[in-house]
Amino acid sequence: MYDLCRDADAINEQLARYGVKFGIYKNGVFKEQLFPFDAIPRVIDADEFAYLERGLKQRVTALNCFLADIYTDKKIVKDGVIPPEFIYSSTGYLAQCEGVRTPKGIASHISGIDLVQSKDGTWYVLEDNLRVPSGASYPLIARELCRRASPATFREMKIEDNRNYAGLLKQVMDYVNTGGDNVIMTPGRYNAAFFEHSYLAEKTGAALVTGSNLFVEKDMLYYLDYNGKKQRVGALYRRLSDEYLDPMNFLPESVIGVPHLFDVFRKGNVAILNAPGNGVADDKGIYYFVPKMVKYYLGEDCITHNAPTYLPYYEEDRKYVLDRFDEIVIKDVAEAGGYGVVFGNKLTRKEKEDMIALIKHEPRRFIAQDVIDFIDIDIMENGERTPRKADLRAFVLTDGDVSVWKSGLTRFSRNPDSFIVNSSQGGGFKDTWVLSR
Amino acid sequence: MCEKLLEFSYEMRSEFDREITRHDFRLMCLPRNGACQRVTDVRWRVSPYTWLSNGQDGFGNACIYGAASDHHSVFVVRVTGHVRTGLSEAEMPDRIPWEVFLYQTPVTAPGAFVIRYYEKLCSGEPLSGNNTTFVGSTGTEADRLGELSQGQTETSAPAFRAGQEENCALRRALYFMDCLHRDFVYQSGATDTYTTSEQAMEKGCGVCQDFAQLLITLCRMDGIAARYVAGMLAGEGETHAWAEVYSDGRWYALDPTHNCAADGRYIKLSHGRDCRDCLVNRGVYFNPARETQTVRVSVRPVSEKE
Repeated sequence: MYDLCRDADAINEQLARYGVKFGIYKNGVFKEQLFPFDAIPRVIDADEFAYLERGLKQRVTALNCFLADIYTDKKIVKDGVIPPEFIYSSTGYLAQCEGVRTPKGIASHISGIDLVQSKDGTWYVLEDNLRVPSGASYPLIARELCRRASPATFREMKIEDNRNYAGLLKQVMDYVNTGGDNVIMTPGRYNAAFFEHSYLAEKTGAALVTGSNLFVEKDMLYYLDYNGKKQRVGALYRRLSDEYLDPMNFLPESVIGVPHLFDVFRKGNVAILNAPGNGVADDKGIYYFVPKMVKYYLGEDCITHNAPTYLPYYEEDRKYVLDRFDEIVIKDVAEAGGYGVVFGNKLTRKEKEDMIALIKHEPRRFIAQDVIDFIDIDIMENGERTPRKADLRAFVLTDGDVSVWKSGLTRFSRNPDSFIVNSSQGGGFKDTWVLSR
Repeated sequence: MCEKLLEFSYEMRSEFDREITRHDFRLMCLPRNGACQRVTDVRWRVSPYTWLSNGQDGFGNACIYGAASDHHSVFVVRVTGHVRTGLSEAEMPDRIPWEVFLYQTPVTAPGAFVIRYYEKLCSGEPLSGNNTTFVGSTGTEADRLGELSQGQTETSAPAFRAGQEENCALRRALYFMDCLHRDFVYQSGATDTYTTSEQAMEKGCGVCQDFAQLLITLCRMDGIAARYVAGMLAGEGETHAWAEVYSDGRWYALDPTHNCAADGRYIKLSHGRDCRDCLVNRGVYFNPARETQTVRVSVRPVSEKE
C-alpha cells in the first residue's frame, strides 16, 4: 500500500497515457480532462460487502420487475402503490416502450447504484442509475496498473480480484443475445466516456461501432465489420441515451442514431442493453418508491436503505420540507449529474423564497432529503493525507442471475466543502477493494 | 348512431429538386380499428423502396416503415380502402391507461397566454368573440365543413350533447371547444408542425392541429385526460386532426376546428399525447434537397344496396 502511494504519480501518468479521461461540457464547450486517481483505496471488508451484495441484488431484482410491469400490465399502479402521476409525467417514461417485452424479461442489465456510508456506518442508496451507468472501466484499469506498480500489495492482502468485469458483461450480452454478434455502440470520441467504450469492447470481444456503421434491413439490425461485411447484431450495448437511439421513433433530429432500431427491438429481434425506457425507474421521484417495490414484487423487506426522502407531492411531506428547509437538500427530479441539487441552508433569503414558491407550484418536480453526514475518506494531496467526501457506485449485472461486481467506483470530491462527488463536477476516483475474508 | 361505409384514399407525393439516397421513412397512415370504426379492407403501395416492413407503435397505431436506399427524386405513398364508421359514439378504453393522457407534453404545456385564456374561461368572463369566422382563404376546410353540414344536421354537436348531461368531463370539454371555436381563428399556413399550444394561442390563429392541441391543453389543465387524433375527414383535402376526451370511462371524439363531434364522417388513423406521437410521415435521407410534398386525401360514403 505504501508502494502504491509512492507510485501514485507514476500511475496517474500511465492513466493519462492510456487516455483514461472524462469529458465534461462547461458553458457549451467540451473539455476533456483527466479523471485523477488517488492511490489510497476504499476498503470494504467481506461481511460488509456480503450485506451490500444481498441488498443490491434484491434492489435490482425489484427494479427489473418494476420495469417489466410498468410497460405491460402496470399492476403496481393499478394496486395503488405508486400514483400514476409519478410514472406518466416522468420524462423517463417512454410511451414508445408500451407493450414491449424485453429479451429474457431483463430491462436493466447493468445497474449502477450510488451509495454513501454515514458516520454511524449505515450505507444509504442515493441514486439508482439504470440507463447507461458509466465508470466501471476506471477502477478496472487502475487496478491493473496498481498490480503492476505494487504486486506485493495484492499478494499480501486478500483482495477480491475485480478483473472479471468484462467476463460478467460478456455473459450478460451472451445471455440476452437474440442471435448475432455482441456490439458496443458509442456516440463517438467526443463522448464523456469514450475511453470506457473502447476499453470494454476490447475486453469483451464485442465490436465497437458508431451509429453510422449500424443499419436496419427488414426486421433485423446489422453492422459492417472491419472487412465491410454485413453481420447481424444480437445484443447491442449502446452507450447513448434513449432519445438519440432512433430518429424514426425518438428525436427526429438525431444524426447519431439508427433509423428503425427501435422497431427491431420491439419485435424482439435484438437485445438493447440497457433497455430503452429505463429512465422511468431511476427518476429521483420514483426512488422514493423503491422500498415499496421490493415489498410489492418480492414480498420482502428492503435490505438497502434509502436516504430519508420526502415528496412535496404529499401534503405531510411538504409541510416537513417547509418546516425544516435549512436542514434538507432539495433535488430537481429532471436533473442529473449533480446538477439541480440545492442545500436549504446555503440559499440567500431571496433564493429561499423563490425555491419555496417553486416547490409549492410544482411539487412533483422536487424531492427533499435529510442531509446525510457521510464519512470522509483520506486522499493524498501534496504528500499529505486529507479527508474528502466520497461515494461508491456499485455495479450490478443481471443475466439469469444477479451479481454484484466485487469492486466499484469510489468517487471523491476535490473541493473540501462539497458533498457532491459526481465526476461531471470534476472529482477524482479511487480503487475499491473488497476483502475476501 | 349513423353507421357509414366510407371509401378513402391517401396519397402522399414527395418531390426532391435533386436526387436523394439512403432514405428511411416511417408512415402512420393506415386507419385504426376501434369501437367506432372497423377497417374492412386496406391496400398500400410505397414507391420506391429497398425493403418494407410494418408493425405498431406503443399506442397500438399501425406503422409502415422501410428504406429506399437507391437514388431517387420522387417518393410516393398511396393507401386505399374502406372503413365502416359510426359504429359507436365513443371509444372504449384500451391497454394504455387513460392517465397517460392526463399530463401535458412539451408541445401542449401551457404558458402565459394559455394560462390567461384558461383563467378567463374559468371565471366565465365574457369573451371578445369578434373572430368567429374562418379566414382560411385557400384552406378548403371551412368550405368542406359547409358542404358537409348540408343534410348532416343529425350529427352536429347539439344532438351529440343531448344525452350527455350527466357526463361532467365531456360537458366541460364541450364548453372549451365552443370557446376555442369562437376565439381561435382558422388560418392555413399560420403555424407549422412544430408549433406548440402556447405559440398558437399567442398568435390567435392556426390549423386543425392547433385547435386539437389547444383543446387538449385546456382539458389537461382542467384535470381531464385528452388525446390527439390524426385522421381524415369526408371530402377532399389533406389529413385532419381532432381530439378525444376521456369521460365516464369512454373516449369521446371532438373536432374543435368544426365545433362538432368527430362522428361517422371521420376516419381515425392514430392517437397519441400530441401531434408528435401521430406524425403521418417521417423521413430522413442523405443529400441536401428541397422537398415539395403534396398530400391528397379523399373520403366519400359508399351507398350500400340492401
